[in-house]
Amino acid sequence: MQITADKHEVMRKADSLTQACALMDTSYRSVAAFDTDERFKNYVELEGEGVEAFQEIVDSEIYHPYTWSVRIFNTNEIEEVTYTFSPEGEFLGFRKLLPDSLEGKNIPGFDIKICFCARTRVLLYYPISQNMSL
Amino acid sequence: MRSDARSALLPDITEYELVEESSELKEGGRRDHVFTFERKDIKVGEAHYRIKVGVSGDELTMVNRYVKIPEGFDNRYEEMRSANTTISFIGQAVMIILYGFIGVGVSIFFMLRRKILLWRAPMKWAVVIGTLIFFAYLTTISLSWFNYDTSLSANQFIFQQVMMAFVNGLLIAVIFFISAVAGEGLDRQAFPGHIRLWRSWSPTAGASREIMSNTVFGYLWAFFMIGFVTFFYWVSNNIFGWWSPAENMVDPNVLALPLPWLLPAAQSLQAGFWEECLFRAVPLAGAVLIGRNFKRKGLWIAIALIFQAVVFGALHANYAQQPAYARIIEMLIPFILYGLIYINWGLLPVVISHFVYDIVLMAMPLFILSAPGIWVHRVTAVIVALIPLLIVVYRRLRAGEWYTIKAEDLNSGFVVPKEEKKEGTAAEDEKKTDREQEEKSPGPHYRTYPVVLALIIMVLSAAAWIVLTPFEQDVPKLEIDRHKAILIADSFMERRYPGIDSLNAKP
Repeated sequence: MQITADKHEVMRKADSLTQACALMDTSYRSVAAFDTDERFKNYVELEGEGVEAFQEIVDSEIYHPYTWSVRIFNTNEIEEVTYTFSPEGEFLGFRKLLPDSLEGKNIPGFDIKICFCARTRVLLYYPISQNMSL
Repeated sequence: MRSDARSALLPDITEYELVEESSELKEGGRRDHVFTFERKDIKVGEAHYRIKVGVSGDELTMVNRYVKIPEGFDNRYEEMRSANTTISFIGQAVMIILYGFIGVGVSIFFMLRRKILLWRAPMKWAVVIGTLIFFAYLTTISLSWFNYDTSLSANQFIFQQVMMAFVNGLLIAVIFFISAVAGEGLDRQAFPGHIRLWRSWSPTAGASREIMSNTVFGYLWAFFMIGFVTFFYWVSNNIFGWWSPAENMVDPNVLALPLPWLLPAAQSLQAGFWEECLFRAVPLAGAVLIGRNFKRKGLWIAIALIFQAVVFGALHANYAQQPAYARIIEMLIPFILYGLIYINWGLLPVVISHFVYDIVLMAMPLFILSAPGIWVHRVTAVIVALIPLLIVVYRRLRAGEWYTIKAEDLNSGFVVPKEEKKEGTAAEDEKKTDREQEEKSPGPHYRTYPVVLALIIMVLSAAAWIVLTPFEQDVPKLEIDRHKAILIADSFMERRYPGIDSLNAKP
């Protein structure tokens, strides 16, 4: 594993994303930590395809068991964002926590999927099932 | 959805299929959706690569890549790990009862009575180690914000963390102090030929060939250990099919700390010094003293050599490795050799070796990371690892020539203080440095209060742990047992579906 991004780099990227995507207000605290998905690692090594397979997954970047996480938060606020980045600093995902009481403009699930389609062409592969509530 | 920029955070999921979808109405009237996509073309074992996308109201709020691992794995893994925990628990029990209460407690009691206990040097080392640990934990506060409960005020949180760092540093210092006092004291009585531990880095003994060779030997032995462990893992994994998680000795989170070299340095020093005092000196010197008493010294040493290596391995058996006894096997030969080195040359080479071995492994992430400025931390870690060598090189250069170890530098040269000397030399000794006082005439300046105080703190800490730990389970107390539950279920099923097979009939 080569960890080529340091914590300052991923925190800078998290800042940029927060501002570009208006995920939080302008003032916040942030903290970075390096995480290992131990559960996944143990599974692959014990019941998956072994230690070599785990190394192949790391090298092929199909999945990143090692990640940088950046938490962006404020004291006395439920609202916060956590980003994950690869060891090289590539954006992998995020999660924004909202208070349950916060109102929002509701949109139907189907419209969301249409939106996904526009962004990711997912509908090409989307198995429309009658079990799914649209 | 709101914000085009945020939609750009959506991953490319062209190779994924939607497999799950759920929505939940929140108390504020907002509807949250979660869509789970799965790759159908590849998987690892029975685990599937997935991406979870969350939308809260009209906001994209989650993109989470994860692997869906079969549910039964966690149970199987926990069951497998329970053997590790049991072995480690036995090791801890031996450590506390045999090494702690009997080895350390009884030896301190007798040394106090005989007034041969040296406490100043271990006290200084305890302060150094406790302070380093305190500051090392302070640096981890920056990381602990990750688990910060936002309902707590920031000041409260910082205060909590600082107090925890302080308590950690204090406890470690107290435990080290007591172990070092006992370990060195037993060593002094059991091995008259060893160079006195607390003189090892003195301006005189520190410039001797013996201390230099002990130091160099400590480094060489650390690298032998690294080589041995690497070879052991290769053989055990590839030939015997044992399992040890890759990189389980390395904590990459060190990288997220402001001074990433400090925690490995503090922990290595603490582990190297404390563990060698408690796990080598106490059992081996103790065995020599008991064996000498029973006129079976050789037998006692042989038993103690194997016993201390097994106990040390058992204490490390809680690491995720299989079979559960893997660490005992792994550590048996190296730590019998550590024991032999200790018996022949004293604590210095084993402490240095243990410290260097630990710092090499713990500081490994610094050498994995390639980032601007990381070289400063790498260089610092290397310098810290070289400190024992640098000290003896400095002593030798200052002395200008090799110092010849004299009788008073050895454990056998330790003079038991005489009572009548107490008052007569008090004024004169005031002028001497603390070090000289303790080394040349430990008796007149002998004080029992630091040891007693440390013992009191240890007892109070243990009492606090027992009182404050919520030993009761968080889950409600079970009112009925398994058999009663099956009977009730059977009875219900019989009433509801007459003639159905009893649950008890199933295996």
